[in-house]
Amino acid sequence: MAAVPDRPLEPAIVAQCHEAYSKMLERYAWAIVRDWSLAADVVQTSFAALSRFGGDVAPEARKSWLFRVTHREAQRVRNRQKPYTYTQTQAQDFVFENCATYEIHPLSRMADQEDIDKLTKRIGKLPTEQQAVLHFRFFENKTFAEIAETMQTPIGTALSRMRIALDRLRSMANEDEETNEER
Amino acid sequence: MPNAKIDRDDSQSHLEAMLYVLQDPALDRTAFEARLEEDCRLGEILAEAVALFEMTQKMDSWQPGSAASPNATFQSSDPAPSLVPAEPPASTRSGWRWVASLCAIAATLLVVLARWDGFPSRDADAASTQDVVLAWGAMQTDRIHIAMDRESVEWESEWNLASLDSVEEPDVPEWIVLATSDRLDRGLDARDGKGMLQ
Repeated sequence: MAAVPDRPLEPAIVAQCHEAYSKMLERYAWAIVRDWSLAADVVQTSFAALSRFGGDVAPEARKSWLFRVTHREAQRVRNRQKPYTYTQTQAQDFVFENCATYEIHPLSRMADQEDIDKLTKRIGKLPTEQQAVLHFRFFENKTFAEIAETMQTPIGTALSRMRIALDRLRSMANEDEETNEER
Repeated sequence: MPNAKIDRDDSQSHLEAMLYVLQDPALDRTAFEARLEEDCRLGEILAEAVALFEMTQKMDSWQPGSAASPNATFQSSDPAPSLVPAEPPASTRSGWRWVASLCAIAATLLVVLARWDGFPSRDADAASTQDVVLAWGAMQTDRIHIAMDRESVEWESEWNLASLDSVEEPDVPEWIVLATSDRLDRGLDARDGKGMLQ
C-alpha cells in the first residue's frame, strides 16, 4: 500500500485547534476508552494526524474531522486493550471498566470548586423525583431498571425524569452563562 | 451554548449520551457509537455528558428532597419522602460501623482481661517474669496437671525447666507459665477448688 503523502497544517492553526477542542476531545475519548491516560494518548495522536494530514481539511470541517479521527483512534485503542469484551453477548456489550472504578482526571482535581458548588445548587433546585433519579444513578450506581423498581414507576418514567433533569440543568447553566455575559 | 430553548431531539441525545457515559444497559451502545462516528454534534454532547459526570463524581452525595447546599433553594411543590432512600446516609452508617467495631474490640479486651486477670503483661518488667521462672524452678520435677475447663481433657505435661535460664528463650509456652504461676500463688484451682499440684 502506498504511503499517504503528508499534507501538513500550519503549527499555529494546530495550536489554535488544540486550545479550542483538546479538552472536549479528551472527554469524548474517555467515554470510549474509560481511561484518562489512554484518552490523552488518543487526543495526542489525533492532533499529530491533524498536523500531518490536516492541510487540505477545510477550516469549518476541522472539528468534525478531529472528532472522527479521535473516534476511530479511541475505538482502536479500546479494542487493543480489551478485545475480549466484545466477543461476549450483546447484553454484556459495554466497556469493561465499571463506573465504580471511575478514575478522576489529574487535571480535574484542580477544577474550580465554584463549578461544583453551582452544580450542587442547580441539582438542589430540581423537583424531588428528578433529584432522586440523579441520586440513584450517580451515587448508588443503579441501572434505570433498578431505579424504576425502587421508585415503583415504569422505566420510561425514570428515563424521562433523567432527561428532564439534564435539560433543566443545562438550561440553568445557560442562564447562568448569559447572566455572567451581561455583567 | 447560549440557547436556552432545547429541542426534543437534542434532549434525547443528551439523555443517550449520559446513558452511554453511565454504561447503562438501557442504551444500545453499538448503535449509539455508529451514530457518534457520523455526527460531530453528538460527539460534543457526549463530551458535555462526560463533563457533567466528572463533576458529579467530585460532588458529595446529596439526599433527594433536601437542599443540596445551605444556599440552595429547593423548589419542589410535591416532596415525596418515599423517594428518599430509607437507609441513613453513608456517613451515619459508617459511624455505626465504627461504634460496633469499637464495642467488639472493647468486649474482646474485657474477656481477655477477665480470663487473664493478674497475669503479667507483655510489658511486665524482667523481674516479675523472673519470679515466675523461679516458681517454676522450685517444682522442676513435679508433674503438672492443668484443668483447662470442666469438660475438657486434662492436660498433662512434664517440663524440664533447666532450659529456662534465659527469659528470652522460654521452652515452655508463656501462657502455661503464666497460668500455673497464678494458680501456685492461690494454691487452688480457681474454678473447681481442687489442688493443682500432685
